[in-house]
This record gives sequence, structure tokens and C-alpha cells, in this order.
Amino acid sequence: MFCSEKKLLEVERKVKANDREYNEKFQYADNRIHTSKYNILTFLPINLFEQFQRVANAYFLFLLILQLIPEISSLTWFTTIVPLVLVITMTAVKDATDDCFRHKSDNQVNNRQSEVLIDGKLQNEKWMNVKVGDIIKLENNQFVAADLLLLSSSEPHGLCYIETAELDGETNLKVRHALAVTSELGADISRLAKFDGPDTKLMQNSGKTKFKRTSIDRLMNTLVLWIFGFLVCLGIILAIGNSIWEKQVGDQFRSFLFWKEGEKNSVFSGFLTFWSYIIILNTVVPISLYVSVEVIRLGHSYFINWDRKMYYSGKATPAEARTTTLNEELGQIEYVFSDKTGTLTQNIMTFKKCSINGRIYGEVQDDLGQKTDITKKKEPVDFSVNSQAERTFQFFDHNLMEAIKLGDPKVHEFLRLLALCHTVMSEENSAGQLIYQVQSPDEGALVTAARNFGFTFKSRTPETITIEELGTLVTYQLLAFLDFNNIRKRMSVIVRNPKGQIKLYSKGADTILFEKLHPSNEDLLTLTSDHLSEFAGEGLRTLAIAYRDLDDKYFKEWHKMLEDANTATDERDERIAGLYEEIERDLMLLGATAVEDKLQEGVIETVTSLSLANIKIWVLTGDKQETAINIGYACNMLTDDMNDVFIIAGNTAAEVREELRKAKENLFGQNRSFSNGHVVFEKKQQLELASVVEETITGDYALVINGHSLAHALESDVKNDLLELACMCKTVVCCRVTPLQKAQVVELVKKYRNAVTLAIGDGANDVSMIKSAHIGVGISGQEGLQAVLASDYSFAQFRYLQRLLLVHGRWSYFRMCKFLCYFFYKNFAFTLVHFWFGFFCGFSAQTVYDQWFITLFNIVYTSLPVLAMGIFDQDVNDQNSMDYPQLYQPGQQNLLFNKRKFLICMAHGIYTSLALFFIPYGAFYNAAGEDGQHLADYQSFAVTMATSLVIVVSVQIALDTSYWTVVNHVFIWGSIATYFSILFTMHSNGIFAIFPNQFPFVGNARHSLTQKCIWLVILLTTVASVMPVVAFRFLKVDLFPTLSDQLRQRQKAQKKARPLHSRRPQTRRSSSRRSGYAFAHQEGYGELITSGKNMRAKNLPPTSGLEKTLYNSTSWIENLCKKTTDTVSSFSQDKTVKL
Amino acid sequence: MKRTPQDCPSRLPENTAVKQQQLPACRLQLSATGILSGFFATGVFCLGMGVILILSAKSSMEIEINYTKICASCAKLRENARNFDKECTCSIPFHLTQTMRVLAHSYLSKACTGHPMSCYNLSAHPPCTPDPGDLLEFQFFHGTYHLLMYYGNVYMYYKLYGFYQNLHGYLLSRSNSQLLGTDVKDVETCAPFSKSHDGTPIAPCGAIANSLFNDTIILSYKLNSSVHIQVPMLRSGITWWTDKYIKFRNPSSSNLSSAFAGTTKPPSWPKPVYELDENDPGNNGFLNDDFIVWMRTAAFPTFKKLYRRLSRTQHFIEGLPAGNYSFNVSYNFPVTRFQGEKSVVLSTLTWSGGHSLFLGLAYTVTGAMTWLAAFSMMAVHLKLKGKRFSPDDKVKL
Repeated sequence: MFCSEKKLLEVERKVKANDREYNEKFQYADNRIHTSKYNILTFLPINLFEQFQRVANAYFLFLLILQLIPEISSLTWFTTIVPLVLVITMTAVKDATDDCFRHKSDNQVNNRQSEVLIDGKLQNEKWMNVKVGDIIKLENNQFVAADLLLLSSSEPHGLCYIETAELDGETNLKVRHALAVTSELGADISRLAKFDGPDTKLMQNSGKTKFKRTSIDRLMNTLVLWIFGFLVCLGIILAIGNSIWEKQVGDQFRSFLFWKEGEKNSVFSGFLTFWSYIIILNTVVPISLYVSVEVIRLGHSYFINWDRKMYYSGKATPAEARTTTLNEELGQIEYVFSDKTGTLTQNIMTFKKCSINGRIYGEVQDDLGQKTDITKKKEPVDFSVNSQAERTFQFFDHNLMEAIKLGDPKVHEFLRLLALCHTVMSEENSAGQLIYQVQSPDEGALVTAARNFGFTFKSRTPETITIEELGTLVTYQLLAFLDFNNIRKRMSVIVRNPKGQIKLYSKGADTILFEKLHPSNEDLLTLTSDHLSEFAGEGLRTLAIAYRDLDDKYFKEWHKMLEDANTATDERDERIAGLYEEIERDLMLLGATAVEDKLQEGVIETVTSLSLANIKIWVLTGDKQETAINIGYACNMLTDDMNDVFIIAGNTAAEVREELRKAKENLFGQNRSFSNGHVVFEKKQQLELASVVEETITGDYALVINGHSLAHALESDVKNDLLELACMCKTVVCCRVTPLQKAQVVELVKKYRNAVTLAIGDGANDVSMIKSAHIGVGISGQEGLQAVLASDYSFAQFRYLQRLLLVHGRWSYFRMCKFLCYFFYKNFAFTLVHFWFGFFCGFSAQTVYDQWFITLFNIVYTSLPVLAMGIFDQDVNDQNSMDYPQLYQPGQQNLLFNKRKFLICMAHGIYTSLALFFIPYGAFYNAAGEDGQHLADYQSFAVTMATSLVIVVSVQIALDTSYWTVVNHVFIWGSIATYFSILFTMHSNGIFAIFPNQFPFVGNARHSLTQKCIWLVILLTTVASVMPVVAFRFLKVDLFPTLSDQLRQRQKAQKKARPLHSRRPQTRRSSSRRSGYAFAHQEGYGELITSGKNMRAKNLPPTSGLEKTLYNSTSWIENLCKKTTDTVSSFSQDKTVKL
Repeated sequence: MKRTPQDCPSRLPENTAVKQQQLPACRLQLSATGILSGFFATGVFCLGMGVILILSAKSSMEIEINYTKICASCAKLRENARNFDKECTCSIPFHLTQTMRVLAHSYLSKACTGHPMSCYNLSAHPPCTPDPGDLLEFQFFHGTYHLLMYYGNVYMYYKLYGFYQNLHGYLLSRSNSQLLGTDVKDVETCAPFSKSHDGTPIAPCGAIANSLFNDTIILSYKLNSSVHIQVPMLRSGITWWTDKYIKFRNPSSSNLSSAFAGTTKPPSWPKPVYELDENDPGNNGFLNDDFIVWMRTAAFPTFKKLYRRLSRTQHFIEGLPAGNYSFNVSYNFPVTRFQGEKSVVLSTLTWSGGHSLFLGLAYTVTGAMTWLAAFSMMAVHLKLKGKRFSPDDKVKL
């Protein structure tokens, strides 16, 4: 820790490589990871200190101290200390287990082996013993557990590919290169440890996770404050009562008793009484509340972990509740913020369809010749003849294979283009299998498709591309590489085939490419255009494919101009762009490809179901607008039925404001015309009354906003406009947003809508959003861990969100609310009898019950039944919860537990306490036992009251429990049985003989509970306290049945003959909407390829190609660095943390 | 989601009912008919129980005579603590009559309104006489009561008003271990009456013991104008068995006075604990029945405690015959000092215990309310039944 303090001042580090003695002078931190909080010695003091920092525990400690003052001690010390110790122990055990796991994971990371150069020899050393300045040898596929400086590598030019999945969730390899000076040093990857342990960038950036609390938590705290206030009020009333009583009666009574010592000023006596009553009435603020809530949440978390329906066998990943304190909030979600890639989509691109020369391939037709969806029954194309085929690739249309066999030149050309025009790198793994390293999954899909159809991309050098065309190796000379960028939206290669023909192959966005076509393509263009629309309608990502034959002379001229342009000093980029434009024209259209950005399983159903549950889903993605919209359509978030889709894409604040204004106007305008056609002058009024109008908006709207606009829109003055607009829209898509903006959007909704938000994502760019939302969900099972580490819940598939919210969340909320209602009711009923008794015992702070009963009531007699209800209760079963998403709405509207409900519970408790006190009081007032002996003694009264109370609250929990499992039976009957057995034990002769002063109630249970009269009193009390509740509930269900009530009735009716549940068939979107262009790769890899820097030295041909001369080795590295700054920022975060 | 267990045995959650939340359970879903019939049944039960309780309470008899004011001179004497050793007795004559059982009740209110004080005194249900002559007599003798002759056991209670046996400090001021006889000198919990001024522990210690009710009440029957006989009363059986045999034990010793050696009497007691009843060793010391009864503290400031029960011998085999009686009270307990009152109560019992109307009335009221609720619920339910949508109409996906 000393080191981290020093770190604040640290400006530079002086490190001598491989010189431990020198480096030790600086006392840099060691490389041990510490995420654990305690060790065996510090556990008790630190943990206790932490626990007593909590208000509730501190309060009970304060009570305990109060109780030790004899003047005001109205309860013996054990009534508070027993529950307090129990609560503290339970929490401590939980903390200890948590810390145990942290120790374990720390050890696992710390004990990983590394090879360190010590005394000139490579030695195995645990990562935790690595020191700053050590030189480490890393081999392929090894974990890195420190910030390292790359000295050299076995790859050419000191390049090194690293995966940063554990940091940012990105599984693609990132290129790092050693300093030129050091790169010559060694053959293997060696690195110098730069920062260790707590000094690593990751540990420095990990920051404290914000402590999340649920709205129920906050409400509970407010209510506890209310209860404190209520408690103080009661205390004051009783204290005043005591003062008056002392003055009028007490003084004389005391003097009669010769109680001289006890004599005191009546006001002072009132003051003491106040504190005494605070002690007695403290049970209204139940100490076991917090711990019970924790237990229930823990139970719910385990149910999530155990749910087989949320287990993804594909990745062997069960759902995991990483935070155990937020469960009931899952039942109150109003906004879901979802990432796209990896969350909604699988980030797997599959080549689905293509249109070649006006013919569609890839459509599956059934016997009647009608299009059908691809089903498993259909036989996929058999690629087994092709040894290079990728096993996982499936294609269901045999026509394409036949066309290839028939030698259709257009089809061949099409596939050849796919095999040639890309930035994919190939390599062979140890088994001789061809592996593609792809920068963009789209390209990977296309190249893989070509490979399976017999046009296998084999290898490339900076000047050549070798492909295997239907079994024969063909090497093409790569003449020029016209790279992709955002403006061009296309890429082309110019190659010379073995016959000497020069061809330009181009693929790109249809909108762009179609403008470049040769006029002779008119007919084909219309046809292909139709096909593209069809593809787009199915949510596929499309590219248009075209080629051009170039003659030698023309190319040479052009190439010369390109060389000139490249060496030009001014306007170089513009000139090159112009030249690219020049050559990419008069293209011959070949067709189009359709790649499916595969949605995760069940996304559409989940989205539909969640929107039925009135959950608004916002997609926040870093992707381009077109892609985002495309996915929006693909998963039914955007539909053609929508009245309007507002697109905000302005680049300046003014533009954005204007666009927002227009959208709003449009919204209100349309709405007006929909509703009843107001006249124009009312328009302004309507705008002013936006919040009112919001409720009356008809029709579905969607909002698409991009990152630039969002940055402006998030500025304070337009923020509200944006929010207002966005919240009126059914779907909101934010594209091109930065991680920070994601968080800002979440914060915006959180702050101004007061709604419960959930963010779901899978990558490091979602971490900020996950952290700032009320609930963060991480998609697990992928390589990356960052999102999962920051999340509160994690599971492998987006579709489990439906079950998490609609089943687990709903149940959790429902149970928690029921639990709280009952808990407050119980404690009011239990405690307030002391208040009523105060009026009959001279406000002397005498408790009604036996001290032992007070001690045990909350923790033994009544804790388990309510816990069982809180953990197991179900109003409707999980299937119905899923089928009727509307059931989710009470949670969003906060209907099941709020301040009003609390007041009702309180009133219920007060009523019960009145019945509990006054019925026995009336009956005891002039009563005598069956044997004539007196009955109205304090002890009998206490036993009667206690027994009535236990029975009344047990009957009440029995009524509240709607799902009676074995556990409920055992706990409810068990609690009553426990009560009676403890009662009889404590009132037994034996225990009195041993502790006469602690158990003075000897024989009381036997005597009182054999009296008919007492049982009549208990029975009447029970009837009187329960009947009104039953009547009230009956009328409520009868008059205002909730959906849940109706379903329960139906569920009951259907129990015997359950009809087969039929899902509504999903209506496929038949869209005329033209898909946007979806090209997912970054600019700049073309340079990497043509420069050859990433190719093995042995593969490097000796001659210098045309392109080679254009770049020197440093310039491309500079370019690369410039273009990949966003990924470079994570350069030194090479710290592996596997928790 | 069918998964083979071999898939990944370690991570696939177990398919148990608990873990999948599929525990077999019955859903508590009460039907309208169930609830309504439950209500009607409860109503019937409560009403029936109420009627039975009221009738049986009426069949029992109770007479209460408040003697605070009647023995005013004694009360005055006792207000001065220095007169503690002076005897003061007081006689309260009253009349029991066998007839007018029904009338007695119907005149109750009239008599009471006519005479507020008597109403206070007759707080329970001794019927007042309608006869003006009796009223005069009433004032003079302070009690003429026309009661059904008491059959069966008759119990005599003393009743205190405004005596707070339930004060927190008072309740605690006793030593159970001392009363158990194990350690006579254990007076720790008895403050402020744990030790006398010279430091000797008090036995029995504590405020409860110190304030022991010490009036002696003797009931005598006027056989004829000249012969008064004392009504034979039993002292036994007035305590709980556990109190007498478990909770209270005398310290073991050859004789009681030596057992209590080294202790002193409570300040307001005239004599030490081992002289409470020198005739009956089974009633002496901590085992004194009156003492045990007193030590079982009352829950409310108004309470009655069993004093004696009728020994059904001679004239009294069938209970107390109608006729003239008097209570002869040896007045020792100074209630006026704290504005309390005391009375003596004669009562018979019913099957459910004491003579109290409250429970019967409460049951009747509860039963009536339950029926009322049941009828209104039924009305609401029937009215809605036709109108309500069936769940299928409302529940739409």
C-alpha cells in the first residue's frame, strides 16, 4: 500500500532490466494480486468494524448500551444481544466465505508460472514473484499477468499478436511491435515487467465498483426512518403519560409502598421512561429485517444459478447471479439498454444467400416450390468432397453447387472474387488445416463460403494471392489494393491472372457500387436490386459484387499516376482517392451477397415478450447506423408497421436541435391528426403540455440517433427534448456511441425518468453502461470477462433475459414485497401491545411479554415461515409468467410495496395489536379460573397474549402463502410446535429449579393453557384479527381482480386438463425496405497486407513488387498506429486477471 | 432445453425440484363459496359461543361489596403509618335473597341510575332491589342484596382498585431464589426492599412482598336474630399447584424461625414471615397461601385475588343460603393513601371460569359482524358474478 501512495507522486520510473538489486531500491510493488479484504488475524476486527458502520447494527449497539443503564433498562440485555449476535454472525460468515473465494482466485492468478531471466538463466517463477525490471520469456498462448514492455519477438519485425479478451472482451488479435532497438535481440518473445501488482494499469483503472442498491432498499431505509419517527412519537406520548401519571398517582402509590429510593421528579421519570420505551418498542424496527432480506435475496440468487432453463449447454455456462442484493429490482425494470454485437447478435456472420447474374441461390424450396424457412430437416449441401471445406458451414441450396459443376462462368467469377478480394490472412495449424485470421467476420464469412464451394484462398504474399480453384492451384499477381474506407464504402483488388488478364474485383455497398456500373448492366441491376431488397427484408447484410476487365496499357498508365500521387507531398490522399474513383468505373455487375449477422437464439421472441411487458428496449451500439437499423428490423424492434422512424444524424448542435424539434413536431402533429384533428393553434399548447400528451400518443415510433448527434443532444438544453422524444418512442437505437455515451444515456434515463434500468452487454465497451445502470447483465461464455466481471448477473444468451426478468425478477419482487408487508405487519402487531399496555401499567415500561418471548419471537418463532414464503412463494407458475408478460407491470408501477402499502400494513398491524391486547384485557378484567383461582395475573396474561400473537401471525402467514410447499408446511407448523415446546420447557419445573431468576414463569403454560377460558380468548382474538383481512382480500379480488388473480383462477381450473400451449407463429417481416450496407472492417489492413510486414520472413518473396516500393517499413507502422489509436489505448493493459 | 448430463456435469445445475423451483405444492386459492361458507360457519360458531357464554355468565352469581368507605374510620386510622399496631375492625352486613332472579336483572339499571354510588359499588351484576324500602335499608346497612341462593362452590375474593401490581419496578422487586428457599439471603433483585437499615436481608424481600394484602375477612351468617355463626371457609386450594409446591419453598431447617435466622421482616409487616400462620406449618413462611396468592402479581391495576372458598358443611352444604350475612373485616391494608379502593367479592363459577360477560358479548358481536360481512360479501359477489368478464376475455397476449 505504501507503493500506491508513492505512486501518486511518481513521475518516472527508473528500472534497470534484469537487475533486481538495483530495482529493489525503489521499492516497487510486487506482483502479487490482492483482491481479498481480510486474513485470518484481521478478519474479526475489520469485519466487526465494518458491520457496526451500518446504521442498523449501530442502532442496535446503541440500544444494547442503553439497556445496560439500570435506570432505563426495561428489557434484559439478552433480548437485544441474542438477535444482534445472530445477525452479525450470519453476516460475518457470509463475508468470510466471499473472501475465501477471493483468496482462492488470487492464489490461482498469483501461482501461475512464468519464465524469468534470473542470473543469466531462464528460471520458472511464479507470477507473483516477478519483480519490476525482470525479463520474462513468454511463449505462444501464455497468460500475461503484469504490464509488460515488449522487447523482441520471434515474429518478423518484432511483431506480437496479443489477445486482450480478459481486458476488453475482444477476441481478435491485436498487433504490438517491439521497439526497433530491442527487436533484434532475441528470437523468442521476451518482455520486461514494467508495472507490477497493484500498479498495473488494470488494477489502477479497476476503480471501486459503485455499491448498487435497489429501490426497495431505499424505500426500506425511508420507512425505517419513518418508523424511527413513529417510535419517537410513541415514546414521547408514553413519556408524557408517565409524567402525568407519576404526578397524579405514582407519587402517592410510591409513598404507600415506602418507595423512598425510587422517588424522583415526574418530568425526569418521564425522560427515563422515554428511553425505556425506546428500548421496548425497538422491535418495530426489526433487527432481523435486513438479515432476512439478505437471506431471501441470496436464495433467489441461487435459484438463478440453479436454473436449468438459463443454462447454455453450447458453452456449458449456467446463469450466474454475481450480485446477491439486487434481485427484486429485476422485477421492476422499465428500460433495457442492450449492446448489439455479441448480445443481440452472435457476432457470427454466415453466408446465407447470393444473387449471381440475376439468380438467387440459397433459398430453400419445398416440394411445392414455395419458399420455406430453413429447417433442420432439409439436407444441407454436402461439402465432403472438398477436403478444404469448413465443417461448420452449411448451405441448403443445391443449385449453386450444380451451377459450379456445370461451370457457369459468372458463378465461377463470383466465387473467385470472393476468394481474392478481401483482407483475410491465412495460416496452417499443426494439423495442416487452413485457418483464416479475419479482421471482419463479414469477410470471413464470404471467404469461407468461397472456400466451401471450391474456391479456396490458400495464401498470400504482398504481391500474390494463391487460391485453389476447384482443385487446381492458381496464383494471381496482386497489382493494386484499393482499400476500404468510410467514404468509399467499397474495396477493390486489381490482379493479373496466370493468363495475363488484368482484372479489377470490387465489392461494396450497393448504393455506391451501382453508380459505378457499366450502362449495359441495366437489366441485371434492376433484378439484383430486387434481390437485394429481398435480402435486406430478411435482415441480411448485403454487398454488391462487380468486376472490370482492364487492359494492360490503361492499367499501366493508371498505375504510374498512382505512384506519382503516392510520392506527392500535397493533397496526396485526395489524389489517390481520385485515382481510385477513376479506375473503379464501368464495372460489370456479378451479383450480391447476403450475409446473416446471426441473431442470438430467441432474440425476437425475447424482444417481443419484453415489449409486451412494457419494457422499453434501447439498443446502444458502436456499429454504424445502417447496421444498427438493420438489426433493429431483424429482431422486430423496428417494424414496417411503425408510424415513423426518426433519424437524428446531425453533426452540429443546431442541426440536432432542429432535427429533434422536427421529430417532436412530427410526433405531435401526427398524433393530433390521429386523434381528432385539432386545429393548428392548439399545436403550441400541445407542445407545452408534452407530459400530458405523452400519455395520449398513439401509434408506434422509433428513434435512431447516432453518436455525434447524441453528444450534442446530451448537452443540457436539449437533453430534455431528447429524453421526451425518446421516451415516447417504442424503440430507440443509438449507434456509433462510445462507451462513455452509453453510460451517459443510461444515466440520463436513470436520472430524469426515475425508472429502473438494466444494461446488457458482452464487451469491455459495455462496462461503463453496465456499471451505471441499476442492473448490469453480462453475456458470459465468451472469452472476454470484463463485462461479466462488472455485471450483476451473467448468462450466455440474450434470450435468458426474458426468464431472468419475467420469471425470476417478477417472483423476486413479488416475494420481497409480500415478505416486507408481512414483516412490518408482524412487528407492529408484536410491538404495539406494549403501547396499549402502557396505559394500564402506569407507563412504567413494563413489557407485555416474557423477556424470552421477546428475544425469540422474531428470530425463532416467526422467522422461518416468512422466509419460506419469501423464498418459495409463487403466485403464478413460471410458464404463465413467461406467457403473460403483462404480469410484469405491477413491478414497474411499484404497486406491490410502496408507502401506501406500508401504511396499510401498519394499519393492519395496529389493528391486530388492538385486538390482541383488548380482547384478553376485557376477558381478564373480572375473570377467574375454572377452579376459582385468579387468572388475571401478569404471567397468565403474558402467556395468553404471546400464544395469541404466535397463532395470529401464523394464521396470517398461512393466508399470505400462496404456494404451499413441504417447506412451508414444515416451517409454519414447526414454528407453532417450536413455540409450544419452548414455552413448556421454559415454564417447566426443572429449568426453574436451575435458574429461578431467569425463568420465573414456572407452571404458567400448564396452568393457563388448560383453561377453557384462555383458549376461548385466543380463538376470539384470532378470529377477530384475521376475519377482516380475509373479507377485505375477498372483496378486493372480487371487485378489482388483478391479472395475476385471474390467472390463478384459470390456473386452478386448468390444472387437470392443461391444453397444449401454442406459441403464436412469428410473423416474418416482409419488407420492402432496402437494407443498408454492412461492411464491418476497419480501414488500414490493406496497407498491412501489401507491405508484407505481417508475413513470415521465409514467405517473403525476394523481389519487390509494385506496391512494396510505395511504403517503407516505418511509415506503415505509423499509419497503423494512427489508425488504431482506439485499440492502442489498451496497449499496456496486459494484465491477466482471471477471477 | 433437454441436455444430457454428460454435457458438462460439473456446471449443469442439478435437476431437482428445489433447485428448479418445481417443488410440489398446493396453491392456496380460496374459492368464493369456500370463503363465504367459512364466514357463515365462523359466524354461527361465534354467535353460538357468545350466547352460551352469556347464558352461563348469567347463571353464575357475583356480589361485590366495596368497603373502603364503609370502614372509613379504619381507613383514616391506617392512613397514619404510626398506628400500624392498632387493631381496627369493621362489620359490613348484607342480605342474600333467593327470589326475584329475573326481576333482579330488569331492575338493575333503575336501581343503579337512582343511586350512583351503589352502582359503583355494584360494578358487576348484583341486582338491585326495586323496593324503595330496600333502598333505604341499602343506604343504612350499606347493602341489601336479593340474590339467588348460591349453589355449588362459592369463592371469596378481595378486590383492589388502583393498585398497580404491574409496575415495571414493582414486578421485578422480588427474589425467586429466596422464595425457593435455596438461599434466604439472596436479595439482589429486591431493590429497594432488599435490606433493612442495619443491613440485614429482608425475607421475603422486595416491594411485592412488602405490600402484602393483610386484611382478614370473616363472613358470618345470621342464623336468626341472635345467633351469628361464622361461615366455614377453606384456605387451601386457592393457590396454583406449581406455586405452592415448586415455586415457593421454605428453607429447610428444623424449625422455621431458625431457618429465617439472619433475616428481618419486611418493613410494613407487623410480624416476621415465619409467624404468618403459627398453627399450620404447611401454611407458614413462604408457603403461606395468602402470601403466595399475593406474590402472583396481577396484570392490571384493578384485580381480584382469591381469598377463601366456602367449606360446604353444615348449613352450607348447598352453598350460601339466603339470609343475612356480614363481613367482619380486620382493616389493615391502607388503600386510601393511594386513592385506591378495596372490596370483597363472593362469586360462583361457570364452566368457563369466572363470572364475566365480556367474552360472551365479544363473541356475540364478532359473530354478528362476521355474518354481516358474509352477507355483504355474498351480495357483492352475486352482483358481480353476472357482470364480470371471464378471465379469458381480459387476458390477452
